[in-house]
Amino acid sequence: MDALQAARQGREDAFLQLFDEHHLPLFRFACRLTGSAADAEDVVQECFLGLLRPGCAYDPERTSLRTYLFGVVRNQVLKRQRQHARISPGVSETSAAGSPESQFLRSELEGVVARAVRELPDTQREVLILAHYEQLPLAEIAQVLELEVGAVKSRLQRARAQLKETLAAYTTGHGRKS
Amino acid sequence: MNDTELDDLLDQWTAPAPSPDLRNSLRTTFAGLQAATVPTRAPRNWQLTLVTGARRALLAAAVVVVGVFLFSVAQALSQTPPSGRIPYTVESEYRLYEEGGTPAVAMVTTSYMAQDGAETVLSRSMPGSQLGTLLGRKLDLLLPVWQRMITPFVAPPNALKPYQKAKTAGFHSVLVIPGCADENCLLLQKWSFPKGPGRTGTSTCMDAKVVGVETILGHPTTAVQTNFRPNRLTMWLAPDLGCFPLRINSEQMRPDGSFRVWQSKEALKITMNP
Repeated sequence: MDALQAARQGREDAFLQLFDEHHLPLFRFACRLTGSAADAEDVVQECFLGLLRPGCAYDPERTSLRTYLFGVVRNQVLKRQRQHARISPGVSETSAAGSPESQFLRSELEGVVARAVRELPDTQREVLILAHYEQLPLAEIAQVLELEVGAVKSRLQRARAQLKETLAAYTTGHGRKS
Repeated sequence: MNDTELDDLLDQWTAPAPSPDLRNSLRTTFAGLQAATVPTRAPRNWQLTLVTGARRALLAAAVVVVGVFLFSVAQALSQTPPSGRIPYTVESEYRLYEEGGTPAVAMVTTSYMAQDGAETVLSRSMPGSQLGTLLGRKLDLLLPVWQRMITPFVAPPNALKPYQKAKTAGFHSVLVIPGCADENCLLLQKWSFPKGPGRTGTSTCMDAKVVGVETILGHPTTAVQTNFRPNRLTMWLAPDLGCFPLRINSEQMRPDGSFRVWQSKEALKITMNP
């Protein structure tokens, strides 16, 4: 019996084992997408509880649990963003600078990089985060985002090209390039 | 800027660690869910995995042997009528919805709400499937007995503790049957929810968000919604029928965030003092 089956049958140790195995990358992914640790925790919690609920769409024959969970996190974040946009239209990156998200942007450079990534179009940002920060293979990213591998590759290339342009000044400014 | 320089720059952005409270919070919620949910539904994936590949043959043989034994037990059990007076019965239709397709009637039941707050099925049938109807009825009789027999052996004490604790503390719940647990309706989904505390915005029938009121077949109902993303249940509960759900919509969230109904229950006829 695998951990998910055991968790669904009420075994707390199995449920916590699943959580311990998967939550860190999911949290980081949610955190980078939402810019808020609190929101990311809500998303991750919802994501694990979703595994226990009736009608959970996870099919181990189609995809790995990790891939499925990344997909759930992404959908949850998108949903929250849509709700947030409906409640307070026009919230911009600059207005978010003083929000709790800024608490974990510890250095100026870190803040600059975070802003540059967040300014990418949604479709490029999620690909970049999954590829660079979570080191997911392109094929797995394609599964998470329900895209063709070619589309993932081109989005990643566009994201990186955009970031090179945006961050060019900071590379030389911080003496990272000789 | 080359790729290595970009990678170095991107690495400057670190994500914080989640709060240790996250694990504790999830653990508490898990225990609460176990207390609120009667573990009667076998997970669908387990069923599917079990019947794949070479296990099919073994399973078929086992089913025949065990089936003969259980069938005779079920025959004996079916002679026992439900104890206590049945105040009413509700005939309900369960429908399954294909994405973009027309709904198909998967099952018809006659049931009522027992005094302990559990929807109790008196009879059920699957249109167009006599074998399914027969097997389903037998399973309805046998599974609770089987569950009581095996639970102490297969469920770890820590999984049962919250449920037993809640029962001892006088935990009141409402058990509803939103639909089938498998494509052939051999097994029923049974979900238990806490009784409503009667707070503003909640129903006295169930501790869930009230989303509307409606009269169905002459009985006032309160519609409540439980959100188990990516799933959502909306139930129209009739207080004067012991909180019987006269309608249930089971929905699943699409990738774009919208919901689609994939299963529903609709009361067709209510018979008082049958």
